[in-house]
Amino acid sequence: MHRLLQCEYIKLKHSKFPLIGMLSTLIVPIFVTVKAVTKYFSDSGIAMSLFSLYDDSLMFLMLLFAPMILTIFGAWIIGREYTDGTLKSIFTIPVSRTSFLWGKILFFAILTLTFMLISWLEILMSAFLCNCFIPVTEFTIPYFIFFLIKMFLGGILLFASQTPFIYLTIRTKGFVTPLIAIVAISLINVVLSNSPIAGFYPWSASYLLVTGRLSRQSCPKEISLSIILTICLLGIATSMLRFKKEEVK
Amino acid sequence: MSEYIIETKNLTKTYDIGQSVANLSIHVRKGRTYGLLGRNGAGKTTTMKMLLGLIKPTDGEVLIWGRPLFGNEKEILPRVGSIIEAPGFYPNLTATENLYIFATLRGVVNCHVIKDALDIVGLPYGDKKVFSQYSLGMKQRLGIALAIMHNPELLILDEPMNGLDPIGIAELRSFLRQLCDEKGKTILVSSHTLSEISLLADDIGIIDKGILLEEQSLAKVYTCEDSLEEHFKRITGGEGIA
Ligand SMILES: Nc1ncnc2c1ncn2[C@@H]1O[C@H](COP(=O)(O)OP(=O)(O)OP(=O)(O)O)[C@@H](O)[C@H]1O
Ligand SMILES: [Mg+2]
Repeated sequence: MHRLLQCEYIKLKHSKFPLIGMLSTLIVPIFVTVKAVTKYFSDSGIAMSLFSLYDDSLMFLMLLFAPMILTIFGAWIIGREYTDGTLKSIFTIPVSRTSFLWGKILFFAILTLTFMLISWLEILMSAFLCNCFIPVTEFTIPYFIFFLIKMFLGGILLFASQTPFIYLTIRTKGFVTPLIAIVAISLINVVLSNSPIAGFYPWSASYLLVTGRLSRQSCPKEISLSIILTICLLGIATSMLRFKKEEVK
Repeated sequence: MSEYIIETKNLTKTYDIGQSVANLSIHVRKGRTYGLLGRNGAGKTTTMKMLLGLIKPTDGEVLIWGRPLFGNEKEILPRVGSIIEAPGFYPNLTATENLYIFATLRGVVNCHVIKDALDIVGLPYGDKKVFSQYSLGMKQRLGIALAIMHNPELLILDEPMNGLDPIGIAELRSFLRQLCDEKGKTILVSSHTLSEISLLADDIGIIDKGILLEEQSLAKVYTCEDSLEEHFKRITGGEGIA
């Protein structure tokens, strides 16, 4: 397995993917910072707090932005093997289809967590920069760590709810269908996230679980978690079944 | 142990739109070069994909070294080298990096192996050019390097001469002949170019519309026909190819 992961890493060489990926992590941190700074300088003069920076980021990341970006990442790392025609060279080595796909899924999980951790670091740095000019409350180490854990957990739940899009990528061998699906699902997130049934909707539930807002809803934690886990396993199982019987074109 | 390196028994592949390969039974002997001939769409690539386990036969059996391929891929495939249609590589990586990836997946990372393979096909080792900047023939050469890198006993090559210049073709031909004659390797090669096959192969199999029309040694063909092209035209009843 470490060989497969090592190869995934080599495949990124001379590619624009790492740069584009890095740039994409900047979008939400910059957005929430600008939002907080404007609020501070507005008439109401709301103070900037580390808590609200992270809280806003988690909302935008988990409900809207990260699912879409991660779907594109996933479709790219899997779809390229189809478009580049490399599968025939890999399967005839032979590398088993199951371990190959596990390698991809694991790599995708690593990308997801990296995405969240880089975002965490960028928000921290942006808060640090702002703190040089305007006061940022709650700028303390316990809060850094508190949100580090939250972002990490968010990454795990994001990964879990993303596996169906891996299936869609394999099924359609492209990124158009999974991307349209995730846009639709994220828009439903926006509509649902305040409703009492949001806990049953795995993509909203991830966010509610991480931010501890689920308790205010009418769905028990255990049920939300089981729904997310079921979606995750279903996504992996269908991907495996589909990939195993795939005919290499 | 069977006397054949590759043997197929009634190999059949049916797609929704019809049969691509029908009841194909071919026999490739050890240390020989076997040319698989057929017009466009005859089923050459489909057959080779089944021989490599890339697609599942609808019916029939593939035996390699006397053992069924299905279920024994782990033992059989590491001893086989192959090119199927256009070679697939990562466009953002150099030739060396590409080969390095496949060597890593094989579990044999050795700079000499990669360097030697590139040497044989005439590509520079450690070149900065990435695969997407390669010309058609250079891509094909890299595909050949990948196929021979692990010193396989059996080569399955789908139109390996595609895109090569005349000198490249001659070099590849003499290299393949050498593998066969001096090292006892077995080669199954498909090609459009009959003149090429007539210089390279020991045995030929002619397929048309997925059906094997004839299988015999090239020497025998020449006892009753002037050229392979004449023979091919007569057997397939067509205008010939290439
Ligand atoms: N994935 C597929 N689905 C449906 N039909 C297919 C598929 N792949 C191949 N075929 C059909 O199978 C037949 C044989 O195709 P194949 O690629 O094996 O021909 P070939 O002998 O390699 O031809 P060429 O010389 O052009 O490479 C063709 O009629 C083709 O249309
Ligand atoms: Mg073909």
